[in-house]
Amino acid sequence: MKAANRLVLVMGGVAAAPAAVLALCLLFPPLPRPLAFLAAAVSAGLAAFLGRRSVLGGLLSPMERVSAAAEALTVKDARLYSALKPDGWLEGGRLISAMNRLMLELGAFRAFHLNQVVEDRAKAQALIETITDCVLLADDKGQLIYSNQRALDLLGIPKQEGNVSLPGSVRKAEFAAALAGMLQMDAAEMRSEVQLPGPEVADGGDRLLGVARTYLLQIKPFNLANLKKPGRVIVVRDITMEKEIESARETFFHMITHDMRGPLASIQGYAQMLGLKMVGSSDDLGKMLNVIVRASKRLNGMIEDILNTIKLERGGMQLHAVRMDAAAVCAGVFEVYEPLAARKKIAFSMPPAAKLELDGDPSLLDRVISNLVGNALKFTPVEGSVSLSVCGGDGQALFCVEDNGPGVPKDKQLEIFEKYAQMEEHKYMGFGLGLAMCKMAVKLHGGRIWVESQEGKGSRFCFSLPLRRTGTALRGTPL
Amino acid sequence: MAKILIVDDDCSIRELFRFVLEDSGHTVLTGENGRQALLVLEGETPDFMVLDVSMPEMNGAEFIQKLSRLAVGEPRLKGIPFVVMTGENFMEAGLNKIFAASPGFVCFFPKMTPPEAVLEKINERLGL
Repeated sequence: MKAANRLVLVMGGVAAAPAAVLALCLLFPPLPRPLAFLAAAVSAGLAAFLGRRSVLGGLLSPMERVSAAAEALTVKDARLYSALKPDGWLEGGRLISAMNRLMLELGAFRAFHLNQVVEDRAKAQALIETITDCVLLADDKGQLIYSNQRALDLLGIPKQEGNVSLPGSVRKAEFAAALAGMLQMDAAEMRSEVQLPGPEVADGGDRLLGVARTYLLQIKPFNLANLKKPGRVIVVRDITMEKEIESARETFFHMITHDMRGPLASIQGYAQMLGLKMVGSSDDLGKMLNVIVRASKRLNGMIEDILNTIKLERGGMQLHAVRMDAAAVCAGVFEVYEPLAARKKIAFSMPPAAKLELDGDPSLLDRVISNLVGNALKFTPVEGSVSLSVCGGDGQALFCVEDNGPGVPKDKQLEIFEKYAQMEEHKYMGFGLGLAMCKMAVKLHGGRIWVESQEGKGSRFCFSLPLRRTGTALRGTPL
Repeated sequence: MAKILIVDDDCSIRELFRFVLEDSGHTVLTGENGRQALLVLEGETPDFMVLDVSMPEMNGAEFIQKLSRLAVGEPRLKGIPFVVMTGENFMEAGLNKIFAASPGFVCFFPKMTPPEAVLEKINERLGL
């Protein structure tokens, strides 16, 4: 029976019972009025008592239990450990049943997700504490959010400090200085190297300085939901070993190429002499000699590149600038590479250029242009086209090597000018030093180098150098 | 109707399943972990089991392996059908092979599958 009907029945019963008893007492058998009224009052009281018990047990008590459980769950965050007993009238029982389901499911859901969170956190913690890099997370104001123990130890951040800020809490001066500079900048990604002197080591009374260590500091932005502005991820990696390997590699290259120059000079020299002696001999012999001379020149160029890279990087290269003609250097490179282009059926062109005077190192610039042209010819397919041009304007000489090869992806256009950076597909086509050497050489001349490229359509490698500032400077434009 | 053993270290999940299964007329037995479940099985033979994987003291995979060994001497424990409530993480992935190879294995359910879906599978398997 529905609760509404039951209530009507109860209320009706409570109202009707005393009236019925009064009527009965007055009529069958007729009792004195006071007694009849007394009986009616007693029956009214009894009916009220029974009615109250019915409503309480059937409806109010279950509702009370449900609201107490709901309050415990929401206000006191208690869990429902066992279902409430679904007694009472139909509606009361249904309400309890629904509440049981709701609360048990909520409890199970909460427990499951809490477990997930705890597990994920434990995994992250295990990984972060195991890796050899130092990792820190800071908000946009430099307040430390999270770090691994390695980071605290290396940077000299005392664990006991409650409020850690960067770089203020960093005790190691070298890191503090580097962080101070980098955290002030807004750049998306920053890298910097920090050198720490080696620890002092006692050696039978004499104190020796241990091995200095080099660290790479990298900072990237990151977003957390509760941060209004992006925070920073700071990673500190010990690159001492990498530096030593690089240095050893350069020394190795230097030793080898230095020793290679001697025999190469002989090949070039004697081939040229043979060429002079063989003037008037057959064309075939002449051609073969030319091939030997050009190949040895190219090999010599590659050796020069390696040696130049090392010198430039170590800062040991002095610019021996002389007055030179940019157009003439380009023409020289064009002449060397024209036969190679012809063999690959590549249309290699250089528009006529007027004399352009600048102060520079002709052999170094020759190597820069040779590298750009060599790369263009290497990567442009058969029957493609490459052009070499130079022109002047705004006090600058602009050199360009344009090709219709595969192009350079946008995300690699800065990276390719770094040492040993090569695109994956070109890993076996050279040392990866050429463009790095070009960048350093151009920078030494006070110039700038860049690439404009669209994947699949080709590339345009350009560099600009300042023209001579004297009144005798001649500016030329391509015809 | 049928006797179902729920083995899970979380009481909310145990009680939720109890609520739904008892509402359908089944009798529910529970255990907090594999070791407790084995104690329950000393006196009872359930018709179906719902197992969690990661539990303290004895996890679901260890329980199933132990049960298989006990079943050699007690045929009543052999091949009791069961489903596994998996958290679907890589640490549990290695244990899943143990369940799949056990007689009685019915299927995996990802955690937080509504109990009604598990009940449907139980009824289907028991022909109810």
